[in-house]
Amino acid sequence: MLTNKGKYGLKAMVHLAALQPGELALVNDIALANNLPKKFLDAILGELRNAGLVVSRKGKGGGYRLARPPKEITVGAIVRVLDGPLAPIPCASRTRYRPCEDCDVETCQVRHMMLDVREAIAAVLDQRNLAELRDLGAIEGFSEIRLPA
Amino acid sequence: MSATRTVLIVGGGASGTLMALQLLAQAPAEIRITLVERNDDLGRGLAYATADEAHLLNVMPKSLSAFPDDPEHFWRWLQRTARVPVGTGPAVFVARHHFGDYLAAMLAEARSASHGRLSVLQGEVTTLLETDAGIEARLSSGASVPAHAAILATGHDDDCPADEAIRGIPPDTTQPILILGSGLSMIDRWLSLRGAGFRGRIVAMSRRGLLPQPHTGTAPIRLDAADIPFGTGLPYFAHWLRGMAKDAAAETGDWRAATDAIRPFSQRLWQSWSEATRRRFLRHARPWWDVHRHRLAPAVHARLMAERSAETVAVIAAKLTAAEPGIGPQTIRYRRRGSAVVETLEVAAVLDCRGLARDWEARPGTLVGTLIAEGRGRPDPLRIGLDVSENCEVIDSDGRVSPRLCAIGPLTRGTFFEIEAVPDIRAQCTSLAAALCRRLLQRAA
Repeated sequence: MLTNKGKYGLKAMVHLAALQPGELALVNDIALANNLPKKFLDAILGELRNAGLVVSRKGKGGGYRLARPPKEITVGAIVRVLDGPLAPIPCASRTRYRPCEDCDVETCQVRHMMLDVREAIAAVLDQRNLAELRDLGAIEGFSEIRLPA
Repeated sequence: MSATRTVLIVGGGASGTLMALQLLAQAPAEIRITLVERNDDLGRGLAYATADEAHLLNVMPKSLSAFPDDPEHFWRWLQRTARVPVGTGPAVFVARHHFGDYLAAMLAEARSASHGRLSVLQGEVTTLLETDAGIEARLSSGASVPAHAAILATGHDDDCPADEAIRGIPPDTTQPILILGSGLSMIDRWLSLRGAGFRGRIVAMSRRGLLPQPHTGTAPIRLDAADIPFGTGLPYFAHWLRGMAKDAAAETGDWRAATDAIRPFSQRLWQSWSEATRRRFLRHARPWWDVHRHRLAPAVHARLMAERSAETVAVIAAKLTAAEPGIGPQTIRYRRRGSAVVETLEVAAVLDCRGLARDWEARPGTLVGTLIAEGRGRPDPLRIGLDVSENCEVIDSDGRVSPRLCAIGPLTRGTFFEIEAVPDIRAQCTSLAAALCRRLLQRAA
């Protein structure tokens, strides 16, 4: 399941993907522009930084930017870092496996189906990059007008 | 009947042979294959040319079939040709030359069943020219071979097999022999030296002094792509991998269950990383990765440990300050890791087993060196091989992807990283054969 953490992280990454090369964004601005809780976003960006997906600069003129061009960052990489191994339900994970209390792991048909589902999720998320995610929902034929900060 | 198309394979080692087998298996009758090999034995290349019975395969026979859809093929061949005693189980490490013999036999079989579709020539290709119609290979004999597409499979090229590298060392010399590097090539040299009767001390020296780990036979845990953190920085990945190894060790008693589980994903991991991460991996993580991933047959490891306790083999983590690879007495100078003191050692020979570091431009005599010098190929950004696309097409000095010239095997390690073991090369050949057939038939139509 995509948690709020994953969703907020993706929104923040989309925000960073829309910056000009070399431009940095403050946590506050990202939070305001996307309607995200700032404290939580701080923690999320910290994790993305540890994973090498974003870099930060401290002090005046500081902030966050992507570590690589948006085309080179897959959506799957972001979601795995924030939500752990992709899994539609907790028992359908191989590394962070949590059994359900009420069923048998080996014979549970639901779990076997969900193991297939998670591979399908991985396949979709790993084929989409951050540039594509950023451009989703844009109105065709129009490019967004960027306002001076 | 439609016009025939010819695919040229340069190099008849393990990669070239696997490629020829795949093309024969997949291609329709109008596609012909010409394989050019400079030596007179096929299927062997660098790794399998050794006749030394002490040089064992580093994996069990069931991982080494030439045919991806028949994993036990090599194992059945070993039994059928009575190369393993009756009743031997498949958990066995046989001598490497058996695999070379196997590939040579498979190629000979495939050729006689191919109705002339496969021809094998002996010769050395000096250069490959792209023409409007295709590719022309020039041989050192002056002959030329035309083709519609060519595949470079020259592998480790001018490295020489372990038994040849030690020629000229007097077996009764009392001075120690220095081997640069402490990986699998070092193991080969050590075994060859012992086989040749050298009884003296052998000193292996590398930056970290890490030795390959032994195999145990523990089955890997199961991992799916959904579990693997692709595309992160190196510290994050290293942390994840250590965590996995710890979990696997808790579950199965063996960290190998984790390192073997990520094996199917190692090419994808490499490709998901930025150039900076790849560079960091080569610099900081590769020595650790290698000793845990590329392991030794248990018997060889036990023998190594015995020699180590008897102090006939020493492994030193050190940086060399003066040494020249070559046969003949010399004084080498080195500094142990973490120490500023320069020590000296009188040795009878210095053997270079450091692997990977390559300087293609400095090797103008080789075909790959020539292609690079002429701008028809270029080193990959990390300079560990020839730059190719993810579809194995060679990229020239202007960044143009060649429509006709491909490369496979260790040459392509800049793009694929783990592309030296048979299962990886086999998979590469399978998909390249399919892509080439599609493309050649399209062009013919």
